[in-house]
Amino acid sequence: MADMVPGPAEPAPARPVPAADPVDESLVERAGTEVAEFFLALEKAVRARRLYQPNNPVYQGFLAALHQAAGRVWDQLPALSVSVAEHSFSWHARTFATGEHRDSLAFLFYRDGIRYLTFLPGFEQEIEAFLGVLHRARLLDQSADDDMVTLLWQAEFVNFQYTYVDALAEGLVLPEAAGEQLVDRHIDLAAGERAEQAAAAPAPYAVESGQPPVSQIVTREDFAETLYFLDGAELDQLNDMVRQELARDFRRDVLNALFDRLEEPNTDRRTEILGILRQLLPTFLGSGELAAATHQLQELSEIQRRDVLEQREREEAAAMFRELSEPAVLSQLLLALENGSIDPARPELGIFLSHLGPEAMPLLLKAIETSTVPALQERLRQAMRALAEANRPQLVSMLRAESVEVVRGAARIVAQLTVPEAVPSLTELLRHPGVELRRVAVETLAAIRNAPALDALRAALDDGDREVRIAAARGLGTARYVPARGALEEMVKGRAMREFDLTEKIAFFEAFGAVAAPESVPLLDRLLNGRRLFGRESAELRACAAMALGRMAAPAARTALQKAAEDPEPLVRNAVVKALRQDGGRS
Amino acid sequence: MSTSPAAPLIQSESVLQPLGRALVIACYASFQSLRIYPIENATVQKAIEEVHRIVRRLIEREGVVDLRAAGDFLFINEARLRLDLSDYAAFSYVQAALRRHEIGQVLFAPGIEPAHLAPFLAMLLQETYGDEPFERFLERLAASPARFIEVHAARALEEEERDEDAQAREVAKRTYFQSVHVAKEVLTDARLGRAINMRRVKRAVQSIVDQVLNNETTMIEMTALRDYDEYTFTHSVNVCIFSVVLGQKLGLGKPQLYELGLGALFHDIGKQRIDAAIVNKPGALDDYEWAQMQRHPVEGLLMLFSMRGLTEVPFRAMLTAYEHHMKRDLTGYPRNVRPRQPTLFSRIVATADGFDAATSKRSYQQQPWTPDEVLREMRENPKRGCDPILVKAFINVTGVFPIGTLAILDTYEMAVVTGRNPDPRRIHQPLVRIISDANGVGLADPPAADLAEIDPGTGHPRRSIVKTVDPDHYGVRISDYFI
Repeated sequence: MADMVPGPAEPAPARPVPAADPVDESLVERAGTEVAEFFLALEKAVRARRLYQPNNPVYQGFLAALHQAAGRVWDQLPALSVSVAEHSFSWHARTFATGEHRDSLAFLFYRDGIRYLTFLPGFEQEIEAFLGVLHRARLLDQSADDDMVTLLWQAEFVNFQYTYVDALAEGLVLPEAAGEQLVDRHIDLAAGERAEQAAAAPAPYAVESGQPPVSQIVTREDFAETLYFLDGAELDQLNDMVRQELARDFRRDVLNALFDRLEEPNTDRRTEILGILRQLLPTFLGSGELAAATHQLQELSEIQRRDVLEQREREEAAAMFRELSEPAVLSQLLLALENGSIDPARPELGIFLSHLGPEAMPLLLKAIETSTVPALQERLRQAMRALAEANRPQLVSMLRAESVEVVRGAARIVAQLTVPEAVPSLTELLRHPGVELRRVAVETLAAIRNAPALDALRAALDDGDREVRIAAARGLGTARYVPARGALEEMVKGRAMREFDLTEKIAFFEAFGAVAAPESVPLLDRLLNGRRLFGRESAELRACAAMALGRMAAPAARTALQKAAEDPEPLVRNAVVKALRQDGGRS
Repeated sequence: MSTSPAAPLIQSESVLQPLGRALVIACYASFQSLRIYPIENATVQKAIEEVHRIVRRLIEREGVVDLRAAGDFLFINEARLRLDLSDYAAFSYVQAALRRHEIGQVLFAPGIEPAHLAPFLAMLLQETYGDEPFERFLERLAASPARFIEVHAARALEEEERDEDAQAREVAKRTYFQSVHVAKEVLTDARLGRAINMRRVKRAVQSIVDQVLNNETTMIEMTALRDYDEYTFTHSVNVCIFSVVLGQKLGLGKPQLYELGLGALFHDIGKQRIDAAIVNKPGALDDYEWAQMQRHPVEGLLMLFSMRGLTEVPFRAMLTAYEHHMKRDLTGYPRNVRPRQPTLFSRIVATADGFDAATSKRSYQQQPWTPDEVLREMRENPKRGCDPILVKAFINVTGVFPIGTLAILDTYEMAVVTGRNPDPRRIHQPLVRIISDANGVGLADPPAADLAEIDPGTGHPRRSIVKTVDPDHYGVRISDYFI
């Protein structure tokens, strides 16, 4: 049978704890119910830990029940030691099943070689940590480096002990003590001394420098204990060294080692190192080590710049930057930033993002549009802006993306950067069946404001969507794009205008006023002051005509406005007064 | 099959640990003030009240306080108190006080008051007289106002201790050879490009950490068994043991000791990529071969990246493998382009590596240095590039004459060092076993001796080391005395 090893654990408290469980049958009888309830409560708590968050009241309820069950056990027993079978725990010929088959609690211990468990009073204080260990152990697969024994070892429980099968002992033969061989062994001091003197005593090669000590005879210094005492300052220094070590970013040290060696002219080693670096990047990102990932990119970028590598190696390094921007890698980072695992305010984020390639655009754009973290949005916007500046064609191509968020995000950046090359794509976008994208396209074209963009806006004046029409009209008006006068005139005198709401009417009339020529005054005068067969135009339309006239700065326009100064409709009268004031201000 | 612990086990996070350590330090503070002031002095009273406060807390929790001195260690209610460099002096002082009166155990019972503690502590501080110090102490204790305190003689516990020692030695031996076996497996697998069994590696390092925490002296003794297997494997395990021992002295916690141990075990893994003919070449290496050997730290770093079977990247272990030959002033190898300060773990492993390598017989070092020579060299020769404070701390662990040192005494007896003297003032007077008498006749059951022991007739130590010698020259196999 394999050797058994007790796990490291705090010895039992000073009050007497029997080495083995009590054999008193009546005690076993009395405590049997409590022990059964304890395991039942333990199993329920373990299951609850899997299903609920630690702060969930349901889980807390199971936890409290386990606390109470443990307390009842200690009322009867000084300690509870059980053996572990494949699917159950045993205590004095009583068996407690805890779940079924491989899902059972006992199997978690059994599969990793644990055969005995001992719970001691005070275990209640460690229950949550204990459940945490069980939860982690359940998630481990058989190929993981860790197993239950390691998790328990790390947890350092005080009131829980375990004994496991010592797998290391298998097939191991320990050497026997020399024993009797030492009897009467004669040690010839004189011969030994001669041998010593005869030995040339060459300095070991491995300890290559310095002089070997001159003598093996003990010296006065060997007895000067002050040489060996660590004084207060030295102890402080040691404590500082430990503190610094524990706070140290050793990933950076490892990276520096790799980059130091990458600079050496050793092709095989360089290939190996580049392979390692290629694997490290996603590892860092996956574990939220943004600082390390950023350092790696910076060093690699610097080495690329210094032309240290050969062509093939340079390509290998360049591939790393491309891979960085691939969705599989980048999406993990964005997720970590969004859920807070990585703080978006960290300064290295900007540096990291600056190494992204155009392949990253779709994900970045989408993240900007969908993120709920304003700080992250801002960092991503800055990064995207820099990326777009350097990659305008790729930015424009994003306007043809399938994702609405990507197109919307790309359009925003196009608008910020006023990218004229984007106009054809935006014009195309105006024919998109989705209203949202047509609106985005119109807004972007308005921001670009060059002739092709404004021509495209002119075509959007009769779009089926009110918002698109308003934005197009405002865009043209703001740009005072005279070639759009005809189209705007058609709109303001058209029948459809009378169906528009006041906001839309204002947008159109103001745009028309901005581009109108003196010959447009009669049309507006007629709309403002003219009478038709069944009365005048609506007050809204006449007010809008007044607004348009107010923007024209022409004497004829002023005259037309003055004619309506006493209009009985307050809406019209107000519009006229404002328009005259506007006109007066200009003149 | 056994489920009972082999030796008292300790737990760093237990409540007993901090309280126990606080008690020892409070006793030490009381001794210091009692040395200067009379017992009625306010400073003394305050110090004794602090002792009482801690004793009371322990009694509330445990029912009784059982302070035991056994071997190099102090135990509170069976828990071995872990000491580090910061409380080393206090522990040694308290141990020395108990040893002076041949006291092995002190029990504090409920009802104890500061008025009971004060005379007891003052008596502990006094020098002994007569042949039977424990009996004299017992008499004085009975006549004093001290109550609720019970003391037991050290010799009464000796038999029990011997059993525990034997048991601990057996466990340590098993841990040592299991670890060597695992090192052999891992290094061979690494050389052949096979997946390593990380769980076994973890278990081995965890066992070493546990053993060091439980009984570091016994575990250090095991390093003397290096000639029971190939140097490469025993060296890895020895460096692991020395590193963990030193790390423990620096106050590292259990998880950090594990990481340190893992790095130490793997520190030379890069040699698995160097031509075995060079690694095992007897005699001096030529320039090419030396250049090849110098590759091993870099190869170690790279190997740990590519080693199959690892599901986590062992960054710290990588740095240990990479930096352990760099030296303090970075004049070692490999050379650095970017700024670098070797990690503390690397420097610890470098210290342990330097010591074990120089004291071992290897293919190209048939004549190892004696352990004390190595320590002296590491301490005195700046070209070795050792961290002087770490070397000092290391000597605090090993003593001036480390375990396994073969020495000739002024009595013409020959002795093997088996332990550091627990009294730091006697760091140069180790515990030994006399392996041959003045006539050179080997002793079957070599008796133990404390070189700090004073001959009352002369007032001088009964035995002193005259010189340390190479065991090979005297036909002595050191490991025979530790197996």
